[in-house]
Amino acid sequence: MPEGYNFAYLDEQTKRMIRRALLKAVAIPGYQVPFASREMPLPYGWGTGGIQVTASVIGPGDILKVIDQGSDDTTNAVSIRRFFSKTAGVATTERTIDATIIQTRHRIPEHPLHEGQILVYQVPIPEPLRWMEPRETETRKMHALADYGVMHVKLYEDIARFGCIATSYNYPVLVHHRYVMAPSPIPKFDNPKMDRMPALQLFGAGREKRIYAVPPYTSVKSLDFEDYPFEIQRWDQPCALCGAADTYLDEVITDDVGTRLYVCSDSDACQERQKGAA
Amino acid sequence: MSFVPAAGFADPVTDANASFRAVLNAMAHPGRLFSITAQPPAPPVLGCGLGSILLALADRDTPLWLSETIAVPEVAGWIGFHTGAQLVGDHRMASFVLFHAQDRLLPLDDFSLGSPEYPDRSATLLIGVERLQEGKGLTLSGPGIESTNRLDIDGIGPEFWQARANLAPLYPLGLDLIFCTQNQVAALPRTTVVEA
Repeated sequence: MPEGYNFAYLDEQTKRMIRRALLKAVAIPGYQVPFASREMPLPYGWGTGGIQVTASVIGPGDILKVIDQGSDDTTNAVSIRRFFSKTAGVATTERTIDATIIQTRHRIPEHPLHEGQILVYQVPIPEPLRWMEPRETETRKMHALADYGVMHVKLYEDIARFGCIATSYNYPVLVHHRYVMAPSPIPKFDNPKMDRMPALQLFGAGREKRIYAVPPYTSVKSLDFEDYPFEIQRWDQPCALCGAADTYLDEVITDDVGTRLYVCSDSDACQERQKGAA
Repeated sequence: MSFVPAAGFADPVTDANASFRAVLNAMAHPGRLFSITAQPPAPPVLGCGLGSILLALADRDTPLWLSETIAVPEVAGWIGFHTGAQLVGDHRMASFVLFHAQDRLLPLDDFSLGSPEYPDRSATLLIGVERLQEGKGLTLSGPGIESTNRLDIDGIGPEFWQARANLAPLYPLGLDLIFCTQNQVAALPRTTVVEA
């Protein structure tokens, strides 16, 4: 570890403040706890919220995995992993099952998470009602009164315009039958994994200064209508690399005449399956 | 009168982290016991379980209220020296409330329950107990619990559970409880349903 930094970069006073916010967040599932987000040595939008949550939770014995859109080897994932091996000296891994803390941008790993793991989401806009109501004072009141009619209107407008609920990521969920929550921009394909997940889910929004959480084994229901039930994305073909038919696929354009193939977005799950098949 | 407070955490950074993780785990798995490994030489009236949690979470931003049995000068001095937390006489102002199971019970709805817009601005009760035991006693259910958990908390009577149950209709307002022995912690967030 380099000299001159506290363990995991943040000072202890900041960690205490974030830790207290995390405990209240776990106690009130889906409720957004305001916190005094710090400036981090990277721009807002690059995961400052997730990093602050991870920095407050991580200890010397933890094993950290970081993914960006499911992949361990994109810029954001590599930088954040390096940040914590530098400032905290912790072990890192690319294997989902070995990690004790997984910081993620926009995906939930394909491999089911187990009890004791902590999933830390990077969140750009924590307020699910923000696009309908820009005033924080009003959205606070709407959450206080559980007044979520506008969210159903938004989904209804999707049906009126497109014939189906076209929202495909950051699909709103109801947590513990009380708070409507933004699951962060994960594809709705991942929403069912949040429901009664054995791992602890923590959410950090750095620019918006909010922390929220879903404890293990907690009901997380995607909003829908009786006649337009919630559905996840499906593909006509399996992953071109590992052959998985039950994973979230990215479309990759491979030349300049429009040839494309579909591959798993979760690089660890894809590689594990390829190894298993070999 | 001068007095020298006992030491705090041996290793402030890792001990605070480990103590916080025990409390976070306890809050995420209501009714399960987690070990507090740090053993700071806290005043015996406080105990090193409660002492560790205070060192990990309290500072000048968290007004504390101590019950009569805990609010002796030795404890007040130790907390003040290590955390800088302000001790308040009015328990309604406190964000952390400390008492022992055998202390006189104050009405629970007198503590800060938060507001409808900000239910997080509510008190956390830190309760020192002699013994915690899993697998018997109260039946717990709710978020963080797969089906049900059982937890026996020494010295907490039915009137306390009745008072807590009376707060349930106010959800998301409420109180979060942390029970602590010398080296173990269990938590009951406001969402946990308790049946005797």
